[in-house]
Order: sequence, then C-alpha cells, then structure tokens
Amino acid sequence: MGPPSQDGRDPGPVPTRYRLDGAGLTQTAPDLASFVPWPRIRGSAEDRDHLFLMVEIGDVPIVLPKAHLGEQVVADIRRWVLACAGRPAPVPPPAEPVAGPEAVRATMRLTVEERVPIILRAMENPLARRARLVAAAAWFAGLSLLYPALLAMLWAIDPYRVPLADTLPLFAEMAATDFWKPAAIVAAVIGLVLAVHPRARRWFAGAAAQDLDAEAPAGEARIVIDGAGIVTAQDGAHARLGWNLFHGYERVGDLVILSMRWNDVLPVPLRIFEPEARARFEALAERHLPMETRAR
Amino acid sequence: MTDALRRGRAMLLLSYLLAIAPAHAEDAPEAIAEPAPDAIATPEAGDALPGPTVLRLDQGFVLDLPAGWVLEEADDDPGDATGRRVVRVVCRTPACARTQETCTLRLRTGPVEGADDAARLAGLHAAPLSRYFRLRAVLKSTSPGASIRRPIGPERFGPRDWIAVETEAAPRFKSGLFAETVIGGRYLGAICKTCETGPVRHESARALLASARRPAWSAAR
Repeated sequence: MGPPSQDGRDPGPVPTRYRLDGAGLTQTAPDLASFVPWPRIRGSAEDRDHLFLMVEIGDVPIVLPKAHLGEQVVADIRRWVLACAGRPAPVPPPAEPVAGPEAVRATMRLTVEERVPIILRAMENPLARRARLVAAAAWFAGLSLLYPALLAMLWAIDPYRVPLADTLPLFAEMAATDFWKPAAIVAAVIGLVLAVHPRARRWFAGAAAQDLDAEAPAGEARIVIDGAGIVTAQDGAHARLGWNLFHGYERVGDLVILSMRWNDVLPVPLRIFEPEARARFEALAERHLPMETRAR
Repeated sequence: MTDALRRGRAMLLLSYLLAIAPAHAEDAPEAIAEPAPDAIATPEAGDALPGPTVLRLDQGFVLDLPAGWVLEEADDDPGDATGRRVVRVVCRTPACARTQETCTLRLRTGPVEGADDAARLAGLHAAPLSRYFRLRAVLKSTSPGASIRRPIGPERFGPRDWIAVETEAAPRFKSGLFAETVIGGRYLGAICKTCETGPVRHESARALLASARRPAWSAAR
C-alpha cells in the first residue's frame, strides 16, 4: 500500500478499512481515522483493475483495487456514489474526535507562499534527484559519443576499411584533438540545465501554488494538537492523525512540514499559533517525532 | 584556422560520408602485368639505357631521373614534363623488368599555406582524421586487402623532409611508397609502385625523390 516513504524506507503493507454509509466515507487504519461527508465526494472513476473515489480533501483520489473488493462490493460502491456523491448526506456525520482541554487549537488556511515549499519538497525527493542525474549522465554519454560512434560506424561499413591496428591510434589521438569538443559542449549545456533547474522548479512551484490556491475549498481548516496526535477538520470532513503516523519534522521559514506515511505531508504554518500555543506545539512535536529527522 | 582549410576539412568529411573519394586514374591499384616473354628472352642489348636525365616540372620543380628511368609520353625532349599536373616516370632497367617500378609525381595548382616549409609539411596531415583519410586513400590505391608496411610519418629523402607511408599489397598487386613534401610553398606528391616483395624496396624511387628541388625558388630567396 502506498509508495515508499521519502527516506526510501518501505513502511510495508498497512491494513486500511473503508466504510461507505449514509453519512459519507470513513477510512480507518492504524493511527489514522478520517471521515469525508458526501457533499465533499465528487464521484467515482474506474479502470480495468481499480476503482477511484474522488474526494475534495487532499490532492489524490482514493484508489481501491477491484480484485480485493469483489463484484458485489464494487456494485454497492457504484450505487452509493451514484445516489449520494456531491449531495447533502441523508445521515448526520459521526462526531468529531474530542481532544482534551490542554490541546493546542488553531485555524489555518495556507497562503500561496506557504504552498510553494510544499510543492518544492514533493518535487525534490531523492528519487527525482537520482532520475535527474541519471538522465544528465545518459544525455552526456549519448551526445558526446555520437561523433566517435558515427566515425566508428562509417569505419566498420567502409569497403576500403583501414586495418584496426592502424586506426586505433588515430582514434585515440582524435579523442584528445576532436572528440572532447562535443563532450565539452554537451557538458556545458547539461551543466547549464542543471544550474537553471532549481530556478525552473521554483517558478513551476509558484505557478502550481497559484493554481492549487484557486482550487482549494474556501474557508479555514481547524487543527487540534494534543498528546495523542493531530486532528484536522474542514467543511464536515475530519481526520485524526496519531503521532505514530508521522515520521519527520521540517522547518521552512515559518512553515512546519510534518511528513507522514505514504509520502503525505501535513503543513502547519507557525503563524497560526499564539506564542504560548506555538511553544506547546513545538514541545509536542519534539516529544513525539524522531529527533534525527528534525535537523534539515 | 583559415576558411579554406575548414572548408577543405568539411569537404573531406562530406565526401567520406557520401562514400565518394576523389578518384584519380593514377591512384588506381596496379595489378602486376606479366612481362612480355620476348622482353626477357631478348634484352635490348643494342639499345643503350638512357643515361641520367634532368626532369623539369611546372612551378620550377626539378628532379634527377636515375639511370634507366624515362618520362612517359615524352615529346622530343625526354626531360621536359612542364605543362602537366601529373607526371609519370617509369623504370626501364633490366632489374625493373621484374619489379616494374613506376613513380607518379603530382603537383597542386595553389600554394600550401604556412610560415615555412617545415610548418607547411607538418600542416598537411596535422589532424588525425586527415592521417586516417590518407591511410585509407593509400590502401585503396594499393590493392584490396592491402596493409600498412611503414606507418605514416616524416621521412628524410636526401636533404629534405617528406611525409611518407609505405603499403604492402595483396599478392599480384604492386606495393607503394606514398610521399609528399613542400618546397618553397609548393606541394609535390609522389606515388611510387613496385612489384618487389623483399625487404629492400623503392631504392631508386627514394633516390629520385631525394633529388627533388626548385632551383628557381632557391635562387630567388
């Protein structure tokens, strides 16, 4: 279930229960309980092997493998979605999880500027970095070997082929006199691309942040933090995230990015807290999150 | 790098890509012709071998033809080879009845660019690609399946430096000595062929090339 986490640690399969009823979709997994009411469910989509539930909360749809569901359940889901998706729920929603009076409470809405580092973080993971370096190396090797490879090919098919023993020293000499030139040009271009890439990433993240902000549902989300975990709620949807679900704490300016299982993140801008609440939030995070991932 | 040189190099690459190479009749491989039996049976004893001749070419080039060598298609004057860009001389000594030695001398119409003759000569095949094409050309000119006997490089014939390469032909083809030099800014190329397969070859051809000079240019200097 889910891709490997950011650090490359594979969390292994996590049993997750989904329940559709008159109120909406309830999802239960270890350290995680979330609820999305019917008005926030946009509908469903299918391919040969999967059923997708499109929800307005979070960026990705819920993916259910049909093979695990059985025909009857798939048909039931289709019926439920057809009848209720996007409409007021016929049944009142389950109660929101309660937190103790000592919990830290705040409301938040991300600004465009705060979305940028989150998008950048998603783009700049070790897999993407490795893929970029591999691509750069492949382009470098391919383009700088193009000219010698062309000469070697013409040599090989030449009806008046010069014997290999006489050709090799000349080719070796050409490596010093000629072949390095395309290699140097390619290296310069690739170096330029790699140098410009972070700038392009930032530009793209800025544009994407604008789009996401425009699409995000209006209104503020509530966030409640206590010793058991974090509760977030917005527009009737809510989620209880146990501290065990989190494995990283990152600080970008005034924004804290808490990384979760399945590569998900919970961004928390520190500006939403009163000074005293902020200190308590930081103390809670420090107590429950592994220290080695804090420094970055 | 001059424009002409760059264009020349581009043409070289282009012609190679199109698998066409400038073909000269004198570059074609020479198969060994069976000597006419009566030529061996009855050597022309009465006819004295032509003595050493001074061969005059265009652009003021002068060479001493060794004894027994003659200019092909000579007019009245056996030493006058002016007005030709390609000059062929043939050995007619009894020894050459077996080796069938010939040399083809070639001039270029334009001068070779460079500071002095040494620089001009070095510039002829400075690039490894140019040396590669030179090897390809001399092998093609020798015979199918020919090999390089002496790698391309500077060689001294008499008082002058040449860039020379020797080929070893397939059986029944003539092996070659291909040499080029620059005297006073002018190019002189030579293709000498022989049937000889032993270790000693091209002796009189080397003597011929060693005698190459441009007295008019030397006097003017």
